[in-house]
Amino acid sequence: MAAGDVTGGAHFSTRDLVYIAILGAAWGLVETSLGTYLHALRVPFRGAVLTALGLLLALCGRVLIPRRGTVLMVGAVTAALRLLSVGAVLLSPLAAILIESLLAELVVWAWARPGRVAFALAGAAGTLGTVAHPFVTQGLVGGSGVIAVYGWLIESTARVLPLLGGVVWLLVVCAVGIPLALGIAAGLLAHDLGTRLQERLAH
Amino acid sequence: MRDLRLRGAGSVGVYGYACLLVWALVAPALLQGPRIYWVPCTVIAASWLTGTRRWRSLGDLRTWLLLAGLALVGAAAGGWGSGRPLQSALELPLRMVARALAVLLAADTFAGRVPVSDLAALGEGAGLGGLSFALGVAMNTLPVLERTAGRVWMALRLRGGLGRRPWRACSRLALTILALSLGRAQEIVEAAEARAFSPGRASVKGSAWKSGDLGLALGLALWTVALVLVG
Repeated sequence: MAAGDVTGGAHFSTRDLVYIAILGAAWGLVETSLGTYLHALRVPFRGAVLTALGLLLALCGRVLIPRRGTVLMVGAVTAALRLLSVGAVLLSPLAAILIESLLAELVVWAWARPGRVAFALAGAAGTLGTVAHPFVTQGLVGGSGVIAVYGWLIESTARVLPLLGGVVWLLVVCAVGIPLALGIAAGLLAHDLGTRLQERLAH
Repeated sequence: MRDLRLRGAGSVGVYGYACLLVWALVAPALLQGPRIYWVPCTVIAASWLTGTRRWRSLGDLRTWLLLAGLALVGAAAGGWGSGRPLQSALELPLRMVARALAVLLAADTFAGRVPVSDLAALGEGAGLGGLSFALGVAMNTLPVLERTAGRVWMALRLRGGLGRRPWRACSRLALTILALSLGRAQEIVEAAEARAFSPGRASVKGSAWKSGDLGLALGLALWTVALVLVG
């Protein structure tokens, strides 16, 4: 079943907004509860894991509410909740949630009737945002000086590259491949879960 | 102590603080040499004059670690210890630290001074209609959702946990939690409609430019021109 766009650009109904609110709250709950554990335990790729889970919920919403803008709205609700949560007045996670949901929204926006492929691509686009996010943040905070630092790091690494060449490539492949795989899995799961939810709520 | 806040500074809103944040990001690129150190000083002065008395990030160890890290990496990249004069070797790390401090403090001021309702109104103005309503519902739903998730998880554990097929159990767990939570949607819709709420008719007062916003933006623009021209 494809999550088609029934009324592109139309206002959301009250029911749609309530669904968006519940899914946004669920993403917020994942960020604050599971996110706290993952950050405390220093789990690798925790950002990609949290983004994948969040996009799973937001894309589920896209199946339940087949209107353009749903994924971005769920992300906006989550970002606002994140801003409200105690001790988390940081713009970086807020911007990350908004950018990731915007990337996923842009992908599903391109399809009139997004199916499994569109959902997988949307999930992948969203989680790939987590790969680019640290570089964007460092660029914003450090400015053009960061380019000089990257240049120095590349030069320094190049001196020992013959020894570490294989390891560096493996790290690069992991850094991109793992978030990508998580995003694709989240998109596909969102499509299935959303369809099952739709059937269950219809009864 | 006499309050030295600017007259009308209390009327600085979301646009004013956004201008300060954008200025902190853009100004360092326009200012050469030691003039960059005016950027964090200006951000501190503007934040203080608009009522900020405490910057969260300054009390956070991570901020100082970030600044120290930038200084060390910048010094290494700037050629410190490789025979370059100390002054030129330290220029890069000091510029980076000044910029980072300005951006962090401006972001801190933005996050601390702008109410979430204003941000939601800004979102509504940007085309995310119904965001304020959805945010209100989400805030009320959060504890219910937490309880529901706790109960469903407990029920699963009492039946033997995730079992031999943890993936399938997790999928069922997520489906049950979401179905139970979304099942409550009808009650919320009826409650909202009983109060005559309709998304098409709901009028959220959008954030307008305030006199303080204009004053702050104009002041920053003039100050930038002065710094660029006079130095």
